[in-house]
Amino acid sequence: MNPHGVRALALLLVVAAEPAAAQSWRLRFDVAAQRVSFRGVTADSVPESGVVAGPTGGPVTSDGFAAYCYGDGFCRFYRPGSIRSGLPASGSTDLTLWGLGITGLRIRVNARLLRDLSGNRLWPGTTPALRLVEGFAEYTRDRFTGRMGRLLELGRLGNAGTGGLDGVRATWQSAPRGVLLGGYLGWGLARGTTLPVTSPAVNPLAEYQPEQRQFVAGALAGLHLGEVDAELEYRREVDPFTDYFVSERAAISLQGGVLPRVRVVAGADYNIAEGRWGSAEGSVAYTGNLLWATLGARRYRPFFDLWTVWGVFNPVPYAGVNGSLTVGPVKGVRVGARGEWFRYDPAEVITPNVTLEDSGWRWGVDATYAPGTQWQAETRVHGEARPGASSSGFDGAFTWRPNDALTLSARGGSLERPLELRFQDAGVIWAGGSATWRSGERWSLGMSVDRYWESRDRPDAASFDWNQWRVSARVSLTLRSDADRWALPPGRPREATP
Amino acid sequence: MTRRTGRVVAVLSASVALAAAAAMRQDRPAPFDHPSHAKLFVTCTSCHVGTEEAGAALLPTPESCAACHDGTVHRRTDWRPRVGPRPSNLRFDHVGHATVRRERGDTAQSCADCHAERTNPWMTIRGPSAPQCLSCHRVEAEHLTVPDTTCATCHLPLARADALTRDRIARFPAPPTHRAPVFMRTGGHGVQAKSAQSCSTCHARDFCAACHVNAPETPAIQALAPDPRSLAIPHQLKAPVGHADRTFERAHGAAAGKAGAACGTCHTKESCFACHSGEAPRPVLGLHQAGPGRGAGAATTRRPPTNHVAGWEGRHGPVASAAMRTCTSCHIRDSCLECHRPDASRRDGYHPSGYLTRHPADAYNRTGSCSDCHNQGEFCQSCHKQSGLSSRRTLLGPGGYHDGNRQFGLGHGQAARQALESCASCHVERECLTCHSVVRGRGFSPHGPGFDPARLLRKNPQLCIACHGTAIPQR
Repeated sequence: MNPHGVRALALLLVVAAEPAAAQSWRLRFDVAAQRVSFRGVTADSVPESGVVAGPTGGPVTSDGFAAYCYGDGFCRFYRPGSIRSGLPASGSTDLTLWGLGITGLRIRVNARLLRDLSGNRLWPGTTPALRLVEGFAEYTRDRFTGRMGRLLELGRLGNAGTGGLDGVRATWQSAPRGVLLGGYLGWGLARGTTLPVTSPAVNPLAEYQPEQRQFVAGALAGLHLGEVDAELEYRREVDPFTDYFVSERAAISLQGGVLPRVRVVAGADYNIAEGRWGSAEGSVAYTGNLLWATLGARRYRPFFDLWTVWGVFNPVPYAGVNGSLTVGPVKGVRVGARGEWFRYDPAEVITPNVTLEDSGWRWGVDATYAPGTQWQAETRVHGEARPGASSSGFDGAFTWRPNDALTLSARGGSLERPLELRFQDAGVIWAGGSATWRSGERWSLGMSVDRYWESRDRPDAASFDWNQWRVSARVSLTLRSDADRWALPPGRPREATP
Repeated sequence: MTRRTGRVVAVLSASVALAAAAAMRQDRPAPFDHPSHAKLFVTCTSCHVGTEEAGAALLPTPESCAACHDGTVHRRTDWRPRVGPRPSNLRFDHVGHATVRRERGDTAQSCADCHAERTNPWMTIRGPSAPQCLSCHRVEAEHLTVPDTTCATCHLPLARADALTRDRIARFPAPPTHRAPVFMRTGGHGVQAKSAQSCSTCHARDFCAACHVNAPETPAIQALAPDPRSLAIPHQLKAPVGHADRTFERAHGAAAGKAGAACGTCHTKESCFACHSGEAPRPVLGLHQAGPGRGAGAATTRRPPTNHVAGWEGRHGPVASAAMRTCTSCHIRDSCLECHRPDASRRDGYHPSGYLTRHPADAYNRTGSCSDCHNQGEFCQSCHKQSGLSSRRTLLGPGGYHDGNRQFGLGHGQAARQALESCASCHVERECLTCHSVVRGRGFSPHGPGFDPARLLRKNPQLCIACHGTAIPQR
């Protein structure tokens, strides 16, 4: 169908969106656009003879740029590039439809259109412009649920946006409290996107890329005991061209309420292909009337597919403990603090030339004052001291809601972010405001304007101006039949559904 | 249309409307003025023959009125008797009652017993009242509190009272029992309905099915006749008291999974979709599917669970990472993207305002798992390429990023092991293989702690061949 046909069909759907008997549906449109501009860098080089010792002892070009010399006769450096601008605009539609004459059938479609209206294509994700994020038919009968189409397998082995496949999925449950068994198979999508791994869009640097999409198969086994849930998941991906593994992993997740107001969540994954544990998390949360607290531990290890060689460089995991405490001593006041300490496993590599810390911490304190529903003031101070990169700063916001429809907000803050592996000790101060207007549950309009003042505290000529304006706008429209989501309506028979 | 034409049309429309209203008014028979005729008739049956004679008309004909109201003796009248059955759900039968009374020898003023007060003048009448019925039938209770078995003495089931209009049905008085607090709870009307014989007096199957989505499987409801007029009685699907409890959202999943849970009384699978728009939790599978012949089910208001307190956005990460499926029962991918996408208008988004400026520190140490949402190539590499930061030739190609440390190229090992994803956001693999390859590079081994070559060789030998060629060392 040509673009005019698609537009005409979409318009027809909106205009003629009168549900037939026994149908319910929800349709949501989101449109957003923002104006962005930034100054990039341009790689340049000079002969080694053209550099002199700079204020920090390192080589500097004659026009003042810190350079990096490899000993091959040339020194490299970055010059400020030209200012580049873009106008990325996105539109997404989300449709859930059920009651199609076949009991148990549901259809769900979520698609997104993202284009850079300036034509510069500098915003990521604009090629291809139109994407099917999720689109499947689901059939539920008694204890069986089957899905077919583009699926996002949202589990321990892939959070939002990963683990997608074009294929089928089926689950069966013995009883509401009992065993769940399931599985899925199909052709996988690349991680963190809705494109196949063979798409040029996921390979901007022209690196090695598989010739065919990976074949994905997975199995689920769950146990539901009311307050406690446990689930095991196994997933393998195979390259059909070579018949070798792309990945093979398993995961376990547990969650449950062990005491009143206390909830425990834990999960871990194991990389079978590489023979080592991946990431893991565990936390205990207490939710009281005046106090909320969490205590947890986690471990993070990056995961790479076996069609890349990154995995054999043996990235080391870090493990940390974290906690948070929030108290609401009086009505309208909330004060919270959070913190995490973490340490990397020994990298087992001798680096006499470059020494890095192997542990770090993060902390934050925030306070909110909301005496009523009309206005709210909040502020936050945070700091991170970490290997390779640090940051610290504060921000605050004031929000005023003169009525249910309109929300006005003003905000500002500052951030210092030194980077350890290069000359970079940038500071940024920003201030801005936003307005959001909602018309019931259907329309939502939003706009924001922010001004950034950034100072690059470098000892060389690369300390150029990055000050900028950022403007964005968003429109959201939700259409639906009355059987869905909104306040409790009078009961009525299905036959009488308008 | 000209203004003149418009006025003409408006006047004509108003005229037609008035005429129609008058005609409708004329269709309704005016009530007969009994007291004015008190001196004319000495018995009721002179006009109401049908009260004693089976098959005779209960009401007089217009022609009998015209005997006097002929326009000469008296003015003409447009009174006409009601056509069709009586707009009532009474099963009262005049002839039957008259017969019984005759058999008992009771003939004096039999009509006035019900249709007039004893002290009223002749032909000052009124409609019969329920207490009179109850009195004769020896039911010692108020009309709406009579024993369950006695309603059918005087009343037809609603579905058989064909002439009752929706307006009349809507004005049905509710018995006091219906106002009791327990009536709508467990053990209330549901238990009573299983043995009750009187529900059908005022209700029909449609009325129950409006709330009870399990109506097709409920014998007490199926025992009632269908009648859409029953929906005229005002009804509101009220949530049980327990649903307002603060812990309900947290606890309802476990309660729904228990044997004997009554969720299926009001909820279909579809009512759960209001919140569980992602992966439906397991108890949902036990509910009925909405469809023809079944109510839509109680729609629900989406409320967050109790642990989603203020500030939850900043703390949900570990929970979401550990057990994602907990989230996906209520949240679909778009729910995550409400925050997990750049939006400068939202300060408390996943990435706060101005995050582009501050992302290097978070990305370097992977405060969160960036690759959960961002594809390394499509997002990180393409943006860094646009900024001029990426390097895709050899290690000695365009460089200069690590300009703060002259020796970084020789001592990058620890940084690479700690933040390999950050390296891969600008560098390509073959750039690293300039040194870390046996066949094309300088043979520096990149393998570190926990490396299991035998396993990797078994899973994907291409990985080994990339650096070692076919002469893969066996260890």
